[in-house]
Amino acid sequence: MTMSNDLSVWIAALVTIGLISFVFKENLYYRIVESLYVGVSAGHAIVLGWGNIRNLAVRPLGEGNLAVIIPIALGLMLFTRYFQKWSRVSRIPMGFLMGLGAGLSMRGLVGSQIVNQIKACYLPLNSMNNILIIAGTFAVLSYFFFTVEHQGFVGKSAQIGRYFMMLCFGAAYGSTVTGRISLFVGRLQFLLGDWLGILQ
Amino acid sequence: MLSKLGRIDSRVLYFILLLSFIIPLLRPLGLPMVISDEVQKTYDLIESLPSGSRVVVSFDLSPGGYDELAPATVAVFNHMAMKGIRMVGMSFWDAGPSLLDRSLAGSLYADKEYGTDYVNLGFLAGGENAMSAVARDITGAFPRDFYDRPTANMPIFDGLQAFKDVELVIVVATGNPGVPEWIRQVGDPMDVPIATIVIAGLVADYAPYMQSRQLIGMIPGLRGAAGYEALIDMLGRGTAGLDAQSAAHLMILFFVLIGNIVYFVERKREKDEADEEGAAS
Repeated sequence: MTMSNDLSVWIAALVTIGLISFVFKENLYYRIVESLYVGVSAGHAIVLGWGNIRNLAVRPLGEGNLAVIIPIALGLMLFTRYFQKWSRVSRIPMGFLMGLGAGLSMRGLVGSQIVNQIKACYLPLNSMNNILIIAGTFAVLSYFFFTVEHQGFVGKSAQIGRYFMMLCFGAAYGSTVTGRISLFVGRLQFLLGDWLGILQ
Repeated sequence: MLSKLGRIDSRVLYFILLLSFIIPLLRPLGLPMVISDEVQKTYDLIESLPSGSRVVVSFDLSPGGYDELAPATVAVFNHMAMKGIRMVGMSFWDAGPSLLDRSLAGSLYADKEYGTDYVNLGFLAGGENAMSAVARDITGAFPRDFYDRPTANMPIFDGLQAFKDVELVIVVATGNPGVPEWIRQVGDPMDVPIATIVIAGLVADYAPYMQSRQLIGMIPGLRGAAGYEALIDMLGRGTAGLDAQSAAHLMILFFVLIGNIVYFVERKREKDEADEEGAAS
């Protein structure tokens, strides 16, 4: 039951209180802490980014690995966008990045998020869960089926699909509220426990 | 009375809500808890791994979500350390490695040998592209760890070249890149089981992956942490925080209920007054 004498805990506690003070009303203390967070985050990202450049480009080049010249050159070409005359050059590495990213995503996307999800709907209708999954899938898909006018059977199905989506949004919202409460509980445990030392 | 309630200062509600958090933290209520199927599956999977197995933990989270995930992370690390499982930590979010360090320091891994029993490889930029590169060659993508030590000579990487040699991947996630990317690049193509410790806000998004068995286990936020702590019989912050979370939920439900009653009563009163005025004129 003793208050922390660790400077980092004190800084974290004071910054936490500063951010929470926004609930009472916007104030100078909150704005200072907010700006501090943005600055520290940017600095942290720069340091880690430099670590990547050092480990994957500078050091291998120093050790004679000439293959890294290609990615280094592509990386440097990105900076030409700051010079109007040469800015078009930056499109080459950007196109490379987009193509690589899209290719990698597509490779996995079709199998993982389309085929395997469809396979997961091949279920026996022997439980309420399975019936709900299959009915929900058909109903929601019919909501996004715009080739036929939403009337009659398709209209009813689309309406049921809307209800399913509303339930899903409600569940997602409820989960988000739960998550925010968990975060606050964590901060309170830090303030009352790590900082003030009044929690066991 | 009801109209006064409708105009109550929101800061009064915040204060009452704050008390509903603090009182159960100081004096736990011991509210009942149910261990969910997803948490049990994660526990069973780790429990089934033999000593010396290697598990990759990807810390793909922001500091904003850390407090929600820290209790579950520490509980899982404690379980892994007790089982003698070796942990390879990495991150594709820039804040991840520092937060991983905090979780490791608070777990039983703190007493284990770095480089042999666990390692923090640090951050790698590039999101899903980087995950794909790491999956094929771990030490090639991370030639040095978070502390700038060479990784190639570390005992933990003996016989471990790619993710096909890994028994399990645990993604600690607050967003993307995270679970879907790991499933696309490692889970499905390499047939490596994936489990996740995830913020409650993403549970609905990732539930279809549990149903399709692309995710083997899921530990959602504080509730999942409390369940996992009960399973390993090491009660910690998850269990302590669950009472506060439940009390706050009850208080919010009470506020919503009162708010709705006030709204409908006020609306009826206004309608009655308008009807009376109409009848008089």
